[in-house]
Amino acid sequence: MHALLDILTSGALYAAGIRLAVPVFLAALGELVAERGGLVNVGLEGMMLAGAFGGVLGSYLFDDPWLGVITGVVLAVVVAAIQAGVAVSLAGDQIVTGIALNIAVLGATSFMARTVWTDGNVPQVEGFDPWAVPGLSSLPGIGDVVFGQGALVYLAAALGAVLWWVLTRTDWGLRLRACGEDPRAADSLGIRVIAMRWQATLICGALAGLGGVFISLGDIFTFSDGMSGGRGFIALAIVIIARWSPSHLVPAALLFGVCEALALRAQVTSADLPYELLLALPYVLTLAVYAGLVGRTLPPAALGRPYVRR
Amino acid sequence: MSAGRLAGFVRSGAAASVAVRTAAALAAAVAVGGLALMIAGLDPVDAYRAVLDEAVGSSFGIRSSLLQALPITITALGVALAFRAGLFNLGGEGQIYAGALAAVLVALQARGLPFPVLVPLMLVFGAVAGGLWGGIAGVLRARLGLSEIITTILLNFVAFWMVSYLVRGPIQDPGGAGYPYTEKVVDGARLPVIGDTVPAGVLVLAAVAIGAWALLERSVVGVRLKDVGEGPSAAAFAGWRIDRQVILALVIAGALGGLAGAVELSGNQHRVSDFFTPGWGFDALAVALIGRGTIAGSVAAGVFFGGLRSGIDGAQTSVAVPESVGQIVQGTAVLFLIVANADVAVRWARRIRQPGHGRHHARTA
Amino acid sequence: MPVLARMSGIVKRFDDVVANDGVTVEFSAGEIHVLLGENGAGKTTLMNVLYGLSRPDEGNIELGGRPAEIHGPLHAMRLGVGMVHQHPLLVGRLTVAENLRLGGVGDGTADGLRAAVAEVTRVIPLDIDPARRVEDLPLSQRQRLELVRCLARGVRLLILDEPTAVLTPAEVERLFTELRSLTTQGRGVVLITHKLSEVAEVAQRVTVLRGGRSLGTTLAGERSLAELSDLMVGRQVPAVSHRGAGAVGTAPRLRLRGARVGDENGRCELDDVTLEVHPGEIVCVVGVEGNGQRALADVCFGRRPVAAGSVELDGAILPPVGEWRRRGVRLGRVPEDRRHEGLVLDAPLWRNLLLGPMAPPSRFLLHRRRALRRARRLLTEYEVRPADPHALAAALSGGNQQKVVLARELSGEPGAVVAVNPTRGLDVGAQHDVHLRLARLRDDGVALLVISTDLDETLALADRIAVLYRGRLAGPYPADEAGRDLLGRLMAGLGPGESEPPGAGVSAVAA
Repeated sequence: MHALLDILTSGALYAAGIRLAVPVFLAALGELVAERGGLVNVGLEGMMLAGAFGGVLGSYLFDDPWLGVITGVVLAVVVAAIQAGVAVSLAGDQIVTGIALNIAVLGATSFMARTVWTDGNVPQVEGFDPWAVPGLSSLPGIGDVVFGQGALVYLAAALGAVLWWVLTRTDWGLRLRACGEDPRAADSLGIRVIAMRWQATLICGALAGLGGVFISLGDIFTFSDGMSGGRGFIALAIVIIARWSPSHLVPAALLFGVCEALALRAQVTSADLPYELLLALPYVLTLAVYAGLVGRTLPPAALGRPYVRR
Repeated sequence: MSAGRLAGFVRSGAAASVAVRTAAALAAAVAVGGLALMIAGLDPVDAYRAVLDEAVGSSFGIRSSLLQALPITITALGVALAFRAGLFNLGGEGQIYAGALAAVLVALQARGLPFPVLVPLMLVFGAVAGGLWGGIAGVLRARLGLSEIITTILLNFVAFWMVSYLVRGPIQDPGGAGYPYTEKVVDGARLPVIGDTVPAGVLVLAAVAIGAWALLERSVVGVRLKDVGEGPSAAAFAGWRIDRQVILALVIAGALGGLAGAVELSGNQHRVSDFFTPGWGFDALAVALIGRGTIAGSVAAGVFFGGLRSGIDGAQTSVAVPESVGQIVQGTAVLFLIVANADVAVRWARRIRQPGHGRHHARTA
Repeated sequence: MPVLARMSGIVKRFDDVVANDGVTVEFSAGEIHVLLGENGAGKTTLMNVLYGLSRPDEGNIELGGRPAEIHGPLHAMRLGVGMVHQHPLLVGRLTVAENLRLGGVGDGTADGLRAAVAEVTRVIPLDIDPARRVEDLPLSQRQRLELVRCLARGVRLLILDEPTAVLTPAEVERLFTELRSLTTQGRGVVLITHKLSEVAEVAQRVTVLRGGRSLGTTLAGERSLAELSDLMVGRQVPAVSHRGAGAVGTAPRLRLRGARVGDENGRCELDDVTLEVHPGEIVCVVGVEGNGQRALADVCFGRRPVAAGSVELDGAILPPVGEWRRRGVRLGRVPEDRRHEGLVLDAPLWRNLLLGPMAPPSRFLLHRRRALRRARRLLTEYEVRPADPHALAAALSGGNQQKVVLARELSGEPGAVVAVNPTRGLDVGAQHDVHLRLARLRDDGVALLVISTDLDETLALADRIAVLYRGRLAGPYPADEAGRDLLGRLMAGLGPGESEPPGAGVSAVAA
């Protein structure tokens, strides 16, 4: 118990918590955009995985983590394009499409890792080290925790703010919401529903890919099979927990991040805690919060329904 | 996320056209797999021939294929039943773990019991454990409206870490040199192989398939499950208890996942580790989708992908076909199947087939 | 007056159905042009083509004398064509202001919006708070919002699809007056309807559509209503009244006593409703859509409990529908949404005939052969086409789908039947069949409650008529004593003696 208390009171826990929250936050942000447009993107997990793989691949090939970011985002957007092609343009079942993509991407990334690197021995690559914001990082208490992070953390925060503004304050956001609520009405107003949903899906893919890059390049600088570890599904849950509001995503994602950080630190610092059970905690907690908060608001009315023009 | 969304995907069509589309989608997916093999520097024809040879070329190969197919197919039948009720069971992995864990605990506790008592007991406990695990998602869905797509996946991780904890601690094999697995179960707890080729688990699979078919096609409960899946509003209007059907469907799905875990434990691995399932839960998902939620289709697809997995496994030494090719084929097969069945795609295809469509149509005023 | 739009040789197909088969018609400025036809005649499809919502498979469109290809609704509006749909195409969860903005009204600021709306509303008043969510507005106001949105975009040709279905008679009067004043400004109006009375009242020109084809355009005065009716239907349909001899038994079979239903927001949907339906009579509850019909149907269907009061069948409290089979409740139910609530569209007919508490009981085993035999018998008896128990419900026409629902609900020897808009969306022939079935049932001593938004249907069927307005019930009155005038006033929420001030309908509902 004492060991646990030590962990809970250390600033390092919360710094790690923020870092671990970022991939889920980014993916959830992307999912939120897609769902506001009416597309439930179960392929999120696959897009994150594609991003994680692409990040390592790009950083390995070009020896520059920023080119890794670009590679990861591009790969994830390619997966998103397949999702959009099948589930938006062809009006295929959104969920089945997402499931299929998850399976295919899991296979494809594992396959490519074995093709690029012999026997799948993925090397350590250039990643993102923490970068202290001058001045702010020396603030007492929270300085280190909040302002001593990798560059992608600040990028994630900025993207969150931008998308909040886009969704709630711009005509594009209004049109997207119309597509998610009532695509037929939106169509009758001349909004190109299919195009809007494509855009939303691609944005979702890019954000999920960025989240995936962060898993590989923000932390352990390498790739392993299925390393997204269900975070895509946690992001799906977090969107519901946050009630489709971008600002509510932050606390929801942080809760998950801190919980996971707790398990990881317990594994490192004290051998006598059953760390396997602590590693189950983020999933249990996500389930518990989901169960406790669900049903208070309504999802976009046309969520999950393909739109076909007659 | 409402029930009934799978209806469009499994909508019954003419049997022949369904079979043709499925075969075409599978062929296209196998071609994509071949492309991957080429990228990996292999000759796809040779590689596939090696896989085929390993899968069905010998009685050992057939046995291995069937052993791989068993957990996939039994789980897939559960996934298929849930589909018919409009539910997505992504929790096969966790349910397999739950079933295997229960079965191994029974075998370790009651190792003195004779075979005809012990093995059925293990299977029953495996099914019950899986059913309870699946039932959690069912209750959360029925009572609180939580999406089973999310909850079943999260429960997979919970089950995995629980097993991981147990096989490293309380039930670790004391003579296992610290490896994360349990002791092997005694001989009296093992499903035998009939002749030299057919694992006895095939009989369990046959019984499950017949039972699942009877449930869907010849029972009142099955009709109501399908009503809930195909027309949730109409089922509610008719007075069917949707919550009960949802819980029942996910309990059955979980029970079959658990049974699959028990069969695998008893018939093949004989011990539980935290690498017990190589992803059969997701294989089962793809298999049930490719089988379009039907019993026969799921069994056929399950045997196909079990054979593929086993063949790739066997070919490792000769041709080194990456294991992940199987997943690529599965995922793309489902995608192609969606495309082949999408109404929009069908309409496009019809338009392409009829150039100058309707030009000759009489104009009347 | 100049021709605003000319459509020639328009063909539109949906899969294998030809919805428009070479239609040629033109619309001029300064007049109200009625597009007359039955349900399914292709009126809405034709106008959706003109509004850019669907592409014609063949044919040409000219706007203002020049050939035009209309790429979409926004394009159509830019070219001066606007459309108000039967179920207004507004986004319910968004506010009035957001919906106007989506339609391209204003520049995104509150002031710009106000200016743009003020310009239009001198002719067509819009007394709605722009911050309100559209789904909270009554249907009549939503329609008005869509109308204003069109006009604010400056359309020259305004299409209205069955606009009167959600309006009280007085609101209809007011709308027609406004439409006339729009034509005097030089705009053209196209009114889609299947009601002959509206031709008489408002049309300057009439085009009759039947089976996807145009039967020609005439000036309103050139043909009598009887001729138009024959053209529209294509055969002689006798004007029938299905009234019976009146209530037979003394004890009511179905009875609501002080029934009250509220929604989650505490609004009262059904307020102290008391109604008795006796064996051998048809009681119709009529009213403008959105006045509590859904709640009334739900409590009779055993789907929703009452908050106060009771619903009784044969003197016993009606349990939730899940318990009907066990308790032996025999009440036939014809839901409004037959496609989703009445039927499992993706299931074969024999399974659809097993839905609900009155289907033959069977606990565990499915007696497939018996179910198929029963299905064959019922499908033949109710003249369903095709009478194939294996056909999917989705493959049937609307009329045949309704016959399947009726076969299931009426064949179980129900003591009472509750039906909601049983003929909506059906063609005249199918309507006639449904009415005949219901009347025959009444003659057999069944108690029938028909909840309808169609005054004509009500007058044709009912022995007694009650009016539902904002959750409260007026009546029932014997059918002989309840004329159109009385019912119209009651549907607008006025007492039997009051007359309706102009515009009262809208402002009253807005309050």
